[in-house]
Amino acid sequence: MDIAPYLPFLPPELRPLAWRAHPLDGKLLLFERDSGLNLLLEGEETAHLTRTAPRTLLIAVTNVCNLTCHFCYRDLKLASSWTADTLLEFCREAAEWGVLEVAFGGGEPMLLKGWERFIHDLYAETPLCINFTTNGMLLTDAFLQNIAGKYGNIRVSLYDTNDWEHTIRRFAANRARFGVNWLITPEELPRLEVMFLNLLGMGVRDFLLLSYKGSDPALHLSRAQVDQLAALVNKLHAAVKDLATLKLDVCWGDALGGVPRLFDLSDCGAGDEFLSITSDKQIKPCSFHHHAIPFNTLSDVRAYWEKQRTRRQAAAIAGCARLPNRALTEKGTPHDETLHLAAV
Amino acid sequence: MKLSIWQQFSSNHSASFTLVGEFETIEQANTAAEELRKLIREIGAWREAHPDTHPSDLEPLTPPEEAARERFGIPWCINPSTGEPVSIDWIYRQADVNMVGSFEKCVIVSNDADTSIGHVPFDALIRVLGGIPFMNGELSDQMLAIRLTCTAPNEEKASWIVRELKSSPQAYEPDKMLTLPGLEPVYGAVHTEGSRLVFDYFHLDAYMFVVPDGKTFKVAEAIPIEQQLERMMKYLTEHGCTEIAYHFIEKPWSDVEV
Repeated sequence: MDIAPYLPFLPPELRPLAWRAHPLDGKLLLFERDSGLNLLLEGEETAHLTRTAPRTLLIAVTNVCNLTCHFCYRDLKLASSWTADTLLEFCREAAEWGVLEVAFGGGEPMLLKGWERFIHDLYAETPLCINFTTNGMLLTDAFLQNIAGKYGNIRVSLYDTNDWEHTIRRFAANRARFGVNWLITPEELPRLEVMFLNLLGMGVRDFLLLSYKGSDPALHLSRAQVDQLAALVNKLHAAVKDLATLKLDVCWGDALGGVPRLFDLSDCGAGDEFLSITSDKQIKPCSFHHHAIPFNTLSDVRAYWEKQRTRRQAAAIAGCARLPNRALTEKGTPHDETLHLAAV
Repeated sequence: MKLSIWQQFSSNHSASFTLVGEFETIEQANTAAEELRKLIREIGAWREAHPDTHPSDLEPLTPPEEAARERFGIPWCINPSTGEPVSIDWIYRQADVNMVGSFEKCVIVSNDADTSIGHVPFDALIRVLGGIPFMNGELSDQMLAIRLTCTAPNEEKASWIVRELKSSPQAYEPDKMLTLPGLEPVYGAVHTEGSRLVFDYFHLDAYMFVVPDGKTFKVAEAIPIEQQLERMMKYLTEHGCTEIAYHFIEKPWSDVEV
């Protein structure tokens, strides 16, 4: 897409950046992968545009992991069908389609054979912004130095099992661009403030607060605890101001009322804004969705997306933002009837 | 046309730091503090005279820095990407001289601007000026702490002080925290040996300030270390403590578990 007609609308200092155009429905998104800058244009001049591709593909590069966390939601029986070469080709085609970013996960992506080489090749051969989530256990200083400038964001999950303190120190020491994924459970809530400050002191500047999705009632927040979390988010946001970024995972939906948000989103975007690609080459609207469609080529993915993007399918899992009250009762237990209907 | 601009992933990592230089005598500390202030003032003056320059861009050394590097014979900051010496990236103006404080035998350098190069070369400057540098910050594996001993008027008073310092309503890990007078709760440990009070350590770190009453959250404004020390000494002397001795230590971050 030619962005020249839109450049005069940009502040002069932003015009020379290596923008990629990503048309949306009635809007135009410009994205620059090295800085992470996004610029959204919306007006009469963009009213005719329609979205032609998801912004992001979430890709499980392998189903293999070096940890065996009891809470991991992935299906252990899934195959690991990707190689660095097949994944590179797939991503190359995704970039041509119009995808802006890839977010790799797994399993543990560091276990994909040739992972570092793959990142170099993907950066060199495509305009995609490369992100990945890792348990951090296999990261090395040399790896982080070698991929510097070639990725958007590395995310580390805070588990009891992955010595994340060590990983965060490694990130900070290597000036990596990173953030933490933090699952907020009832157990986590009382220590959230203190833990937040400790993480801030360690150099974390990007916090993604994840909601639990699944059938274990002990891991869901009750309505009162969700309200407590909303109040905490407000306090943290007011306290840190621009020092750190607080992000809420899309599955919270509108549960956290009154928290400041960058955008007023009415939907999580699963199946439209982003698609999930599994390690055994299936398409899902999101990682937690019960529908999975096998595919062979990117054309299959594209055909699926074009057909399904407007369907807004809810996942049959407690905690899905597309289900009424996220399929949870006031006490935070899964609402079986809602889940049954969602599965049907 | 409506325009919205935002950054979708986090920014490059930058940090702040605190550096304490401990000297043999108060005179030595004052002399060193003046030397550091002089250097910052000179660099700040040069920056003010060259407003088109940007320290945060990791530019070449300014003339005052070149002169100081030659005079003291110390290594300067290094651009982590190129390995080339670069200008200190957090001195913008003469007023940045306020980043140097002192208390008794200690000189404290603490930046309030983000930095990519950290405490260098001020650690080396402290050494050549006769002090021992201690540091913390996001670019360091260590946290700054103080070890302190003093003698209370009697055993009963010593125990009373310990009870008071540990009486914070802080709900989280109260066993590991002390509420120092006029300050937020911080991680620390104190015990008595007869009438002697022994603070194994206590942190002086803005990042460690936590919820004072379980309700009011704030990342406390960093109280300068010299003021924190002053309040501590005042508290102890007001309660009749004598023979107060303290020195800085560095503790690994991993000592504080969450």
